[in-house]
Amino acid sequence: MSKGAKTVLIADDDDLILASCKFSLERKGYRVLLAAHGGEALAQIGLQPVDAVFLDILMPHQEGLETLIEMRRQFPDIPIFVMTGGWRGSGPDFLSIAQKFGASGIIRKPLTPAAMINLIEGLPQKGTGDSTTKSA
Amino acid sequence: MTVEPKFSATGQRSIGAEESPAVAPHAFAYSFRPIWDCKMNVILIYLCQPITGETEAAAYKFCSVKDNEEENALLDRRVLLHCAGHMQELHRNGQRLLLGVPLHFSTLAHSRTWNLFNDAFRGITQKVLRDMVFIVHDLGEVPDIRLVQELPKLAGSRHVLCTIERSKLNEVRSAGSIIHALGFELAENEPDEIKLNGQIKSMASSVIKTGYEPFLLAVANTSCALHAMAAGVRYLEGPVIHPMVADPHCAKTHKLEHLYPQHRAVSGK
Repeated sequence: MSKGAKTVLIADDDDLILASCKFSLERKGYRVLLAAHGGEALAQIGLQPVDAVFLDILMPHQEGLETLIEMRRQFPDIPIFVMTGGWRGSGPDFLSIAQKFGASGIIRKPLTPAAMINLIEGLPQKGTGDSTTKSA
Repeated sequence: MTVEPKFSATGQRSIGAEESPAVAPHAFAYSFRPIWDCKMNVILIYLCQPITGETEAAAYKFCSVKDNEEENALLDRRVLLHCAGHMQELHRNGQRLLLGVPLHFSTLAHSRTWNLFNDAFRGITQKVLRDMVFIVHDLGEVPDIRLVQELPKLAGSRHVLCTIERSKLNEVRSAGSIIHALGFELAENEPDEIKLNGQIKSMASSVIKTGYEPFLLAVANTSCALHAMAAGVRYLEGPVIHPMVADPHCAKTHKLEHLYPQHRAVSGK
């Protein structure tokens, strides 16, 4: 792992997704932190600097939208990408609500490591002030 | 929270605590639990909740008076009359919404208890009844055929919703066209959220397959609400959806973002 590697936090209740994303991102040189729900993600992000967060919406204990609001309150500058495979039918769309709540980008599952890497690589270098919203 | 009014549903008789001393030696109070139709983004049904002086969390439960079917029937009658009185008031003011009336299944199921209830029920005008939704609970192990037999007694009301036992989640079958929705009420402290989410998914899937709308009552956190929505649950009620209201007077738009009042504080909107 290089000294300046970006740190990425992934919060998802699906162990398989966590394991595969961690494997793929670490191979690309990223440092990866994992959380099984929103509460764990908030605890992790409070302990060390994080460059980007990938946040699932449908998680037990503390779901993604509530977590997003709290992260935005505590860490307004961290890029947070919100993802879900839930509810594509009629009615409220969780991802559009996530955008309203300040998500930097949204991802519809199935999640691919390539999509995650594209989003991370598209992040502005620290201090440039670029805050373009992206969607996978 | 409102205290039971003195006026009757029909204007023909007045039923107060003195006529049903077995039910409540103390004064009853009522509140209403807003039921969110999350597909239409509206709160249209307000479920009447008799308050028996317990904690607020305990108020998010169907009320039973001991294990006595006659007393429960008298309680059902009082709640019905309270709702009818409230509805008349709404109509007088040109306001429209649907009131949910909780009803023990045992009240429907026995002639003695049905007569106690029907004494008030038959006095409700068609106009008022049309804006009532009966929520039949405490079904226990009632076979579907009993539902088909008993629920038509509530004909004339807008809808009938039935709570089902979680142990019967995989046995949901069609139980007549009078039923609009099936679902269950959550306990105050659900011990295993992951297991609960699985039960909600299973319930919603069975209910939708049978042609009814799924509902979930007493939802206490947004995690459970989102899982239910993703599973296809149409009606949601509970403290995290909307606080109880003392005096519902209109249907109102209600959207997912309304479950997150803290968002407004963060965004300044």
